[in-house]
Amino acid sequence: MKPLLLTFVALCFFGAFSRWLLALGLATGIGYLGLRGWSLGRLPLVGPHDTIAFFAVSMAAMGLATRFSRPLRSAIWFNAAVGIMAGVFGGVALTFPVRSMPMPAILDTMWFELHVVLAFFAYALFGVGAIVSGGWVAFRNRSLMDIQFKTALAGWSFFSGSMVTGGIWGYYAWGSYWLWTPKELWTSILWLFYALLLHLRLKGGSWDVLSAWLGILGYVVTLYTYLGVSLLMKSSHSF
Amino acid sequence: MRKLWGLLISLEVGLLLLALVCIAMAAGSFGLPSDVAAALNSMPLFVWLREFSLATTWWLWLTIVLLAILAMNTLCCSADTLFHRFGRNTILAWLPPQLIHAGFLLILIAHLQSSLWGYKGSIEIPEGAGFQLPDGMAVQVAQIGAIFSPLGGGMPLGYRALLITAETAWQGGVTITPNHPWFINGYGVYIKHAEAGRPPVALLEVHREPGAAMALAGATLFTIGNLLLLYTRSREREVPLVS
Repeated sequence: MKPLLLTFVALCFFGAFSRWLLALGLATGIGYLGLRGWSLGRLPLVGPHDTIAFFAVSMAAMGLATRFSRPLRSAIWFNAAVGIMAGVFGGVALTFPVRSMPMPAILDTMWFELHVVLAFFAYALFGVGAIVSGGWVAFRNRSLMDIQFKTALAGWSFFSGSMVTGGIWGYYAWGSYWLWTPKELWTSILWLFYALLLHLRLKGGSWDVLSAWLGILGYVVTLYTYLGVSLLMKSSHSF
Repeated sequence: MRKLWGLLISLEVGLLLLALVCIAMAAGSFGLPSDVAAALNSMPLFVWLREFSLATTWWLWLTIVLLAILAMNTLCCSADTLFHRFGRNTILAWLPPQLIHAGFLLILIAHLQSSLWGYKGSIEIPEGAGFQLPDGMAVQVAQIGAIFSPLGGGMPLGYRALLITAETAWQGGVTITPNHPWFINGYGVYIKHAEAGRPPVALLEVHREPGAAMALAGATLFTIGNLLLLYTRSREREVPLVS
């Protein structure tokens, strides 16, 4: 199955030059996740290989979906950035061993699956928002800030959904809808950070510079919340 | 008075508070030793804050104070919006953010409730022995077992325990497994681990989260507001990119 993920990575990198190749890459990535899920009998959402692959495919999906918005339909730089970013994360997933272990009973619930899927959709949208913010820094076109706001709002909504479903899962699994671990702290930081970014829009166009840079910084916070905490800090969400 | 109200509804103050809460929490995440963090999750928050020194807990005290001011700021902003926009704008223009604010405030109150009046306890108990819930109800652990994958493998996927009380004896007791605790009189009984032996021993936890219902109500309100906000904002006009 790994060659299929390798194909996804290649198509994403070549998809930097063509949205059709990127779309084909996305289809390949979905195919890989589908086959992997079929072999496991569940969604592939446990361990670094599966989660980073899911993240990469989510990135391609959200990037392509955002590309349908009118201001980005002819923006080649956006296509390139999405393709490269999805390809890089797909490549990172390839470096981790594929582990096919049965799901621990504590994770075997719909609330866990919803919690993780919604979080990755959010992470992907925050990534897309960072690309659009970078585009604004380069081209200074106000319509890009509208897209950035929409991706941040959609991502924040998915992330809020992830926190709610995670709380319900935690209540049944751990006995509390909230634990004070580094992951939960950074989850709160990420949520509050994007709440700040969304409120910043109310200040109007004169704050666009700060908004754009925070859109880029938000992705750094996102990556630390997902990968940094899981790899570097002791937490219930450690890999 | 007007100056104070202006400060309370200030967006700049709200933004500053959000940034400061992020910084306080980040500082806490880096400076929290693992044994202290483990203690934090084994007791209600305010018990932990009382038990440990200010040198350890300062970031959480700071977070709580900042969140309290942020809650005040949120409440005042919503009140001001309702006062100025109610009846003058369409309901979809002002309602979704206020629902989100209300949900956020309810979740904060829920956390406060659980932090003040929650209960967390654990017990290692052998099969056949009994224990008492904090309200005095006697519970017997009749059976302890492991859950294995139908595909085989030596490692258990989780553990289960059969609990019997005077009220559940007629139905043969209740079995608890991961994700399927037993809720009784406001308490939840959870199985965390078990060790094989003669007799086997289970690690059980008893929790009470008085804020759970309010947190769920807040989350529901928040989600409705969020979906409405997504709907209204997705209908905003998009301008083509001119490069």
